[in-house]
Amino acid sequence: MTNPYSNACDEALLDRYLDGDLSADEKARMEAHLEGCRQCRRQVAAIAAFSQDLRDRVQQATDSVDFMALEKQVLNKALRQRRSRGGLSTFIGSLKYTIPAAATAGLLLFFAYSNYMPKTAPVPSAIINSFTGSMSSVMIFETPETRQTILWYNEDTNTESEQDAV
Amino acid sequence: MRFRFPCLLMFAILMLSWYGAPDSLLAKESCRISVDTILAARNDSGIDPQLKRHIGELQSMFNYTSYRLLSSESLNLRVGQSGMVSLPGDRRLKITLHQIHSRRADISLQMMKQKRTVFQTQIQLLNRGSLFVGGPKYQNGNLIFKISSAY
Repeated sequence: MTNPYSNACDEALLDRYLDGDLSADEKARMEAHLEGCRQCRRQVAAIAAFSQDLRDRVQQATDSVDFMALEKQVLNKALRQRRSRGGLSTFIGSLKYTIPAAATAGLLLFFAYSNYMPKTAPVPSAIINSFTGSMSSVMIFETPETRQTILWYNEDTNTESEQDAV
Repeated sequence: MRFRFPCLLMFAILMLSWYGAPDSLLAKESCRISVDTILAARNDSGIDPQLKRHIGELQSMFNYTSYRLLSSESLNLRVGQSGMVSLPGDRRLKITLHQIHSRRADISLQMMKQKRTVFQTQIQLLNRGSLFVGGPKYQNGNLIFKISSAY
């Protein structure tokens, strides 16, 4: 029934009628055809019943679902994923600056401590392992604080200068 | 930023490995030895500005009123090498560098006056440390030789 003006059965046109896609003229003619065609009326009735049954079942299925709870659940899940992704990226982003900063600070502290911190126990500036000479006297001593080693000798036989000096 | 962190990390590793490396790997072969000749006297007053930093503690031990820097001489010695420094009063100081350890240098000193050896000594001088050798009379005071090493 490709031609809506003929009176023969056309399944495609019938489907369009059931879907409500026919123009007013086509619809009027299809209804006129249905009045005279028992087979098409049965088909229309069967399809209508099937559609109604399908709608009822879908309705029942959807009625059993709590859409508010489902929406909340989906939203929570999405937010959790976003938070975890954001947290990780933030953490990685912060590492880009934190690690170099920490390494630099550590190096500065390390070298500052080893080079500039006062030594707790200063060592003698010089250790005299041996001493030989032809002189009247010699003294070896060190300053009390920084332990600067001092070697004081008297070339002369007269020891007055040594006694005067120290 | 992509290259900055690896570069910094590499720098840190190099510095730490340099600092912690065994002395044998970083053994120094030469040493700079400087000899400052100071005249300590009682008649004058005043301290040479160049000496203020070095003789602060000596002042409390000696009763001199003035310290004057007469001369400064430096030698760059390799291990096994000797150098001679001329000192006032026809004196000479022969310095021989024997060995360099991590913190100290083994040095021998031979003090001569005219052609006579006054004394000779073997010392271990701290890196950037000083030995003060003093006593000889000169002009109106006494000479002090500040012998320092740096490597």
